[in-house]
Amino acid sequence: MAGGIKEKQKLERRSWSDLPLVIIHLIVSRLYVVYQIRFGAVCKRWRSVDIQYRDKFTWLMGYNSHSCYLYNPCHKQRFTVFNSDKNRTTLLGARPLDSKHGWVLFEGERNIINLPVWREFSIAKATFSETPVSPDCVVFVTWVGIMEISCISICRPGDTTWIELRFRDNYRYVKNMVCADGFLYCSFFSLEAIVAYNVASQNWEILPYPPSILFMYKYLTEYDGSLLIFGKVVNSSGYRVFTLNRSQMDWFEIECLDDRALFMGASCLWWVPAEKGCAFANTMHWFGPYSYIRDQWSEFIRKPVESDSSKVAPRTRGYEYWKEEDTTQIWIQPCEKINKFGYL
Amino acid sequence: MATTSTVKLRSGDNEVFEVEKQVMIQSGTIRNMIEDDAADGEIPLQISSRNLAKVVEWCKCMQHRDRNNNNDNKEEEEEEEEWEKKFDEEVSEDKDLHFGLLLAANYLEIPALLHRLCQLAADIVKGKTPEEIRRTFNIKKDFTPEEEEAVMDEHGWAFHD
Repeated sequence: MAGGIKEKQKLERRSWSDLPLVIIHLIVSRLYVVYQIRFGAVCKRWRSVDIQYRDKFTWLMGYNSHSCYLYNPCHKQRFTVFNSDKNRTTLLGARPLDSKHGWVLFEGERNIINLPVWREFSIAKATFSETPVSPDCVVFVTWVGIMEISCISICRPGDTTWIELRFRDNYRYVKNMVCADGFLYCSFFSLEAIVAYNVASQNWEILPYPPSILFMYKYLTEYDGSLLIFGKVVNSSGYRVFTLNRSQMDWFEIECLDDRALFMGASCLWWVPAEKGCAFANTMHWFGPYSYIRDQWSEFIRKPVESDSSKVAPRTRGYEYWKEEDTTQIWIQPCEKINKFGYL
Repeated sequence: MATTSTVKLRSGDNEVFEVEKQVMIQSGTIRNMIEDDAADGEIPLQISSRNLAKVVEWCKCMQHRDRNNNNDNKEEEEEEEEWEKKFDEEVSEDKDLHFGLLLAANYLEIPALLHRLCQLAADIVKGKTPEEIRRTFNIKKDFTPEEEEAVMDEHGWAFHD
């Protein structure tokens, strides 16, 4: 009789929800992020394990006045963040500007992390230096002022006003703005050089582009604290990537992507190490006006990255991407380690 | 130095398994006992005979495979693959066995088995909604309605495709 009761108690304790945390952790670490989130919604104990971003892959966010989507190019999955018919209006009408460490910077009526309200002309580009919860975070915004002169304003989360920075000369139209390693780098449509701002010393300096290469177009981006320049070579189908060595103040060409992938878009671009052997290794991704003109149904196009040394032999495989009216798209940098998707 | 080449494992329901030490050193727990000369008598384990039998079977298969790694015996290789496939299927279909083996592999410190079982569990979870996962593993939802709403609110996008 006693044995029977004991046996029954034993059976009742045998529930998957009571698995030791070390085992739950091992299971979660094998799941792709969406299934980690669903796993955490099963019961309290399973929820106690943090989400781990195993694949650390860039996602695409599609955003317009009535809805917001996330698209995972790796798994070709699309998720609805919110629709206007649901009562989630906080970010309706907001415009995504940049993304870093899992945060997205929006221009909008409401500032969820306390940035001062923006009262100047419409923002052209924006970026930020760190995770916005860090006290060192600086938010940079460029806008076009009187006489079409580019202006830059900065603030830190918690500030009550924006501070305007003056360029030494009257540059026009910021093309790219990138934060890397304590510097803000800007490229302009009107200038064949990069303007660098040292955040700590508040000094400006002019950097030349990599020598002797004629680019049809070029983009700045950041990877692992270094400035990268990426461009399409004139009269060639090739792309070339250079990195800036600040201590030598010189450009070095990156001839091989080493399984990494390159993402470029209207408002932000960078590359992330792809998993070894992943179908995305050594590929370049973009969306925006170029691809839009080319093919309405393939807004999301993959192109090989080629270099003159031909060390990269990428696979090309285009695929369809959803089509949504008036959608602003932005690549989202995955978080290092988080358990929430945050909005600035 | 231990004198015998086998260990005796006693299951929670008092069944004794005599297994070669060479097989059981895959278990960190047993290996430590062997090294400390504490494995000469019967080793009592809080593992049911059914689960213990499965663990021993798995260890034997793995040891056999490792020993034959250098041989090019196609037939044996196929046989082992077949056995592993069957093991995966049996475990995936029997949630009690799967659960018991997870605990046993963790307790006996057999990393390869633990990882195999966790991968199988992850494969089962993949593609399911929280409710489907609960049903599959017979788990009770212990969130209050408010807590559940908070869960869905935080990562709402992950729940609808």
